[in-house]
Amino acid sequence: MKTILQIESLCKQYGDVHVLNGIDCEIREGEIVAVIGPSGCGKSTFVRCLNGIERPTSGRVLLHGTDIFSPEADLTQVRAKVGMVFQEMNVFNHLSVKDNVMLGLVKVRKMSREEAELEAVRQLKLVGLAEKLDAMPASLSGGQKQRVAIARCLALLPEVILFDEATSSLDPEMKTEVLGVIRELARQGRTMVVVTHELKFARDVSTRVVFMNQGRFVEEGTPEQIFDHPRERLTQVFVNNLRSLVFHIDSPDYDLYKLNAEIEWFCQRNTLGRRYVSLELIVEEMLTKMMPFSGPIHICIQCKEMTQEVSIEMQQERFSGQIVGREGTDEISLMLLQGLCGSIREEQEGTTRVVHLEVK
Amino acid sequence: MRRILLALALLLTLGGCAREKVILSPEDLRGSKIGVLTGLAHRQELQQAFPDATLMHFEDLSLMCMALQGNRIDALVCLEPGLDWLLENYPGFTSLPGLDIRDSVCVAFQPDGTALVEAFNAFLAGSRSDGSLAQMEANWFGPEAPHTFYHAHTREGEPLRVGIEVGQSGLTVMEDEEETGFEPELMRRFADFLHRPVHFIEMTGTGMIPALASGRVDALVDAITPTPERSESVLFSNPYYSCQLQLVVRDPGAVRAVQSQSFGEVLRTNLLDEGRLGMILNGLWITLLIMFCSVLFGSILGALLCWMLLGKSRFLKGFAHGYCEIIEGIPIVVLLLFMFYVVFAATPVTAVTVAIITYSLHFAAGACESFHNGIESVPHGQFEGGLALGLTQFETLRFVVLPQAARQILTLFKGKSVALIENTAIVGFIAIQDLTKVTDIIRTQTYNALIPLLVAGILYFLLARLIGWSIDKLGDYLLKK
Repeated sequence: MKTILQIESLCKQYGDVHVLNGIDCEIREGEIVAVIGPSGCGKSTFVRCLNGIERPTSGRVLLHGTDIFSPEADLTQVRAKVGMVFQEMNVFNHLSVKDNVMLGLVKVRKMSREEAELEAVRQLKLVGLAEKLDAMPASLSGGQKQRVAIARCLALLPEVILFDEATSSLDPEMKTEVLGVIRELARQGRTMVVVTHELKFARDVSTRVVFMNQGRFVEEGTPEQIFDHPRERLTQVFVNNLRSLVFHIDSPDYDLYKLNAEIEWFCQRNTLGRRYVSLELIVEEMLTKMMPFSGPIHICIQCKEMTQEVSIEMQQERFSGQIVGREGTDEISLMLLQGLCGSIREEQEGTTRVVHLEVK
Repeated sequence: MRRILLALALLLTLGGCAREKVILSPEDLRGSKIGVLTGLAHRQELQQAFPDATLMHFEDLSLMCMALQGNRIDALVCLEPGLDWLLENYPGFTSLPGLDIRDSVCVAFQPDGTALVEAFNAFLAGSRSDGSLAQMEANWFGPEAPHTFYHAHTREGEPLRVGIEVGQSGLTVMEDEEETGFEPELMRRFADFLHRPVHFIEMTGTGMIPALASGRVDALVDAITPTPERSESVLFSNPYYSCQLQLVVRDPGAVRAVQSQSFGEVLRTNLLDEGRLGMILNGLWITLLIMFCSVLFGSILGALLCWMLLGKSRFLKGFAHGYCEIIEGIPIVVLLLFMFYVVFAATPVTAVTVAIITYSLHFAAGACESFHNGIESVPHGQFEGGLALGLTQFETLRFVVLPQAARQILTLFKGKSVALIENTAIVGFIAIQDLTKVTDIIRTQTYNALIPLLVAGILYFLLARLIGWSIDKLGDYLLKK
C-alpha cells in the first residue's frame, strides 16, 4: 500500500528534556494507527510533529516523499492534507458552526462563499450537526464542538487525519458520540493516526497499535498482539496496569478523594463510562461499614478486557475479629452491596481477611 | 494638565479660606509664604530679606495672583512694570514698599554670538546717548496711557529670531495678536539697526534657555537677570532696563473686590475679544493634529513592535521589550524636551513635527502593549487550530486571533488614547500653541484664570469622549465585518 507519511529518526527536545528520542515509522494509505502510552510519553508531541505544528529538533517527516520542513514544501498545504483534531477542540469561538467550517474552505480551498456554504452544510450533516449551522460554539456541548472540529478538518479533504486525544476532555456520553464519528471514518477507510486512552476503542478500530514510552516506540503490532500478547515487558506492564488498579491504605485518615479520582481514571481508560459511580460507592461502603480500619488494607480492582467484567478484591491485614457471617453486619450496607455486586465472597487466613466482589 | 489641576485646587479654596494674614509692613512677612516666578534670579537676596519666609515658585503670573487672592501665599514679587497691571486687574491688591532689591535685565544670546552681543551693546549705547531709550521708557512706563507703536521697517534678509514670553514681567504683552511693549519695541529697533527683519517666537520660561542653547532662537528677551551660572551657557548683553523688585500683598483695607464685570462680559473678554476664539480653535486643532497623527503612527509602530514580540527572533523580542520598558519609564515631558532640544536641535524640523514624533514613539509602547495583551488573552489553541487548518500565520492572526482579541485590544487602546490627549497638554514646553498653551496665553492677557481653565477642561473632556466614542464605533464596525 502507498506510504503517505514517512517519519525518519524524529527527535524533539525542550531545553534539556528529550521528548522524542528518534522515531522511525511509516503511515500507509488506509491505515489506522493507534498511539498509546503513559501520560508524558511524547505521543502528543509525536502527532504534532506530523503536521508541523511542532518543529522537531532533528529528523524528517516526509509527506509523499517531500520533507514537510524543507523550504520547498509549503507548510500550509501540508496542514490541509494532514488534518488535525485537538483535545482542546480549538473551535473558533467567534464564528458560528457553519463559519468555522467555511473558513478553511474559503481561505485554503479557495472556494467562493456560496460553494463553501454548500460544502460546509454537507460536511456538518455528515457529523450530525445539520441543526446547529448557525449556533455559536459557546452554546454547544463538548461533543458537538469536537464534531464541528472534525467536520472542519474533513472539509479540507485531508489524506491523513491526526486525532490528538480527541475525546480525553469529554464526558463519557460525549465521548461516545465523538468516537462514533471516528468509527464511521474508519469504516470509510480513511487514513488516521489516533492518540487515545480509550483502549477498547483503539482495539476495535485500529489496524496497527503503537506503544510509546519515554519518547520511543517500544512496540508496534496488530491490536491483538499488543493487547493480548505483548512481547516487551514495558508494554505488558502498561497493558496490565490499564486493566487493574491497586491502592494501599495505611492509616484511618486515607485520602478518599485520591482513591475516587483513581477509580474514575481507571474507568475512563477501560471505557467503563458511568460505572465508576457504583465502584466508588462499593469501595466507600466497604471501607466505612464492612471493613473498618484495623490494619493496612489493599484494594485491587480489575477489568477483563473483552467482557468488561469488573472485580474488586480487598485485603485487610491484622484482622482481629471473626467473620461473623451476614447476620451481624449493617443491613442497609449489605443490601446496597448485594444490589451492586453479582457475588460477594469472604475468606480468612490467620489475621488476613479477603473480600472478593464481582461488580454487576 | 498639571497647571490646570493646580489652578482648580486653588479655585476650590478660593473665598473659603479662613486664616487671612494681614501684612502691613515687610516685617509682617517673616514666616510667611512669598510667591515668585520660577525664572526669578534674586531668590537669595529675597531669602536674606525675609529669612523665615518660604518662597513658592510659580510658572505663571496669573496663577500666582490667584494664589495670593486665595490666601495660599501672603505676598508676591514682581517687576515694577508689572505692578501697575496687577493693581489694575486685582483691586484687592496693594504694593508694599520697602523691598530694596534692584533687578537689571539683559538680552541673552547664543554662546558663540559675540558679534551679535557687541552689536546689541553698541545699539544700546547709541539709544541711550540719543535719548531714544529714555523715550521708550517714558512711552511704556510713563503716566500717559496711549502708547505709540514702533513698526519695524526692515523686510529683507535673514530674520533675527527672538524668543519672548508674554504677560509675565510687564515688559511684553500681546495686543491685537502682536507682541507689544518695551521689550518687543527694543528688539524691533535693534533688528532695524542690524537691517534684519525680526521674528518673535513665543515661549515659556522653562523652555527658553534650552531653545537658545540648541540654536532654535538667536536671542531671548524675558526680563532675564544675568547670573554667573547662566553666563556659563549663554552670553548676556549690557542691561537694557533696571528697576526695583516690588512686593504685592492683599490690601487689608479693601473690601474683597466686587467683580465689576458681569459673567457675560467676562466670557466675552476671555473667549471672543481680540480673536481669542480663533486662538482657542487653533489650539484645539493643533492638539487634535498631534493626537491624531500620534495615534496613527504610534499604532503602526506599536503593531510592528508587537510583531517583534510575537516573533521567534530573540533579538527583536528583546529589542521590543526594552523599547517598551524604557519608553514607559521616562516621563513624557523629559522625552519631549530631549527630542526637541537634543535630538532635533539645530534641524529645521518644526516643533509640531517633533511633538508628533515624540508622542508616536510614546504611544507605540502603549499600543504594542494593548495589542500584545489582547492577543495573549486568546487561548493558544485557537492559533494552533487555525494553523492546523492550513491557514498561514497571517491569516490565522487576521481571521482567528484578532477578531477574538479585538474587544480586549480596543478597551486597552482606548485608555491609552485618552491618556495620550491628556499627555499632549505639555507640548507648550516646546513652544507649541496647543489647547493648554493657548488658554495659558489668554490667561496672561486677561488675568482671569477661571474661564480659560474651564474652557480647556471642557474641551479636553469632549476630546476624550470623542476619541473614546470613535474607537468604540470603529470596534463595532470591525467586529461586525
